[in-house]
Amino acid sequence: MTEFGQALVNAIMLGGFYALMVIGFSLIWGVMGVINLAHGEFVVVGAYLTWFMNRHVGWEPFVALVVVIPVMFALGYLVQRVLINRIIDRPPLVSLLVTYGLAILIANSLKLAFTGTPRSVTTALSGFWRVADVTIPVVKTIDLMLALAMMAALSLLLTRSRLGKAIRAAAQNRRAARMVGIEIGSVFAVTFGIGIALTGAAGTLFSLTQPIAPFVGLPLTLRAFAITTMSGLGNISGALFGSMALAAVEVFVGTYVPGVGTNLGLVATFVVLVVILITRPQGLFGGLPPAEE
Amino acid sequence: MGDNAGGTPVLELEGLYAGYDDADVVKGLDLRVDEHEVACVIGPNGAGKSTVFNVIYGFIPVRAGRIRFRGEDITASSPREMLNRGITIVPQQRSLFPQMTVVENLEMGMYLERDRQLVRQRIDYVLELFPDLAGRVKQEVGTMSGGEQRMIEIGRALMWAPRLLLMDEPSAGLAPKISATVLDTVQRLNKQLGLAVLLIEQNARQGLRISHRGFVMELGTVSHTGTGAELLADPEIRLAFLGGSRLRS
Repeated sequence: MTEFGQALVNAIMLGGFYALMVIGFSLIWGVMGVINLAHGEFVVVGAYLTWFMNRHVGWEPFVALVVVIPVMFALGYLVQRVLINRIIDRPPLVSLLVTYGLAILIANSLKLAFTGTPRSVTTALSGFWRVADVTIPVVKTIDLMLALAMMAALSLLLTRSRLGKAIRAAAQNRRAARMVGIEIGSVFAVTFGIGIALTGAAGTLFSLTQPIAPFVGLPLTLRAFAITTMSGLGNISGALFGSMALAAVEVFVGTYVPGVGTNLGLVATFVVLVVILITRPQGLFGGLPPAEE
Repeated sequence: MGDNAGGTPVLELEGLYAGYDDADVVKGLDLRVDEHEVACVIGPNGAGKSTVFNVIYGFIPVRAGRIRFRGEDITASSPREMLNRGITIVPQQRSLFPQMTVVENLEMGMYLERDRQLVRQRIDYVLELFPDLAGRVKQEVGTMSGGEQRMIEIGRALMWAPRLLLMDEPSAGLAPKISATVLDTVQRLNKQLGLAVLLIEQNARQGLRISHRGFVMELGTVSHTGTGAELLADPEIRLAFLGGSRLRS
């Protein structure tokens, strides 16, 4: 029973991280129709930024979010304006190739800048609580709370603000959005900025639980793709549920199938993904349709 | 039809050329719409009717010629600039945001307006014009019928209190009865509000019936022009576009 309880807690904690990690990917895909294959690398950039602030400025990793979020927003805005905006109306293969190239560029630039040596952050919040023989790490609990708070903030932005309505309008009907006076280029750049800012924030959470290295981004992109496909594009509550489900599959398979570690958990995740794609191609929860035109 | 139609031009197209890739689709088009009047463009498929709207609204570039709105040169204006001048459009293809509610779609018609009170007043005004929508403001428009969606599109275009409304085949894809209702609504708005309307209509008989002025477009240019009644009575037009049948005026 303790083992089950521990696995459940671990799954919830991991699911919270996945949810924040995936939502930027889902938002960009849902609004702009761009599958960002450099997504995992942006998580890693956020993690390195956190490490830098932690190692060289002495900040707690969570405090580094005040730098990571605006810097990553600016980076995302710039990448959209300079690169993505030029290919937005081209066939999907073009954006796949361009973002794949961007992933290689980022990973190798990180290796040049920080070498391949894994880096770790230090935190004063490394303790844990014990509840009925189940260990609850403080850091992962804060991770979960921050992830939920940022998703709630995004949800409010999309449903309550003028900018959020413009983003939703651009996602649902790009031509009609132009007709009502929305500057599509600006909305897309801000959307990309928000998506990358959230992704960078996920990098901060990542840095607290795993070693940071230049080439750890790809598995994160794969998970983001799997969760988004399961959840539906741009669907925040769906992304949260899909993340929890994927984390549960990974953790429970890793816990109860002896001798396989987490790798089989990842394999099991993709088996679930394939089954969902065959039986319900629109995802489990619908969500925004792909961008038109 | 509005009694005070005619006189001052609200929209003038002069020698307009536009197209796609290497081909000109619109070739030296001249067209004029006066204040408070409904003008209708009819013509066969491929004549370039919809391209004219795409050019006017800045979706595709003008290759040659001029577009004037109330005497001001607006050639190559963006959709946002058109909106700011008081020109709105109801395009042929569905232009709503399907996962937003009726009221959210109407609000989007005044996206550029920051005065929330004015937006609310305009919503009330549009709901008065379309009372059938009033009880369904919270419904997602993607779940509504084609005719209802067309009414919302027209309502959204009216939110901005336009001086000129461009409508590209508003009755396309609708059942005949609904189609007639939509065109009657256009006529009612023209009478009630004095709104100038440039209409493209595949259903030539219905379109000309409600129009002060008509244009027949063939091969990218205007081949015939006259009042709606004159074109309805023209034997050549009747044969080519109205099935050669006896007409009601």
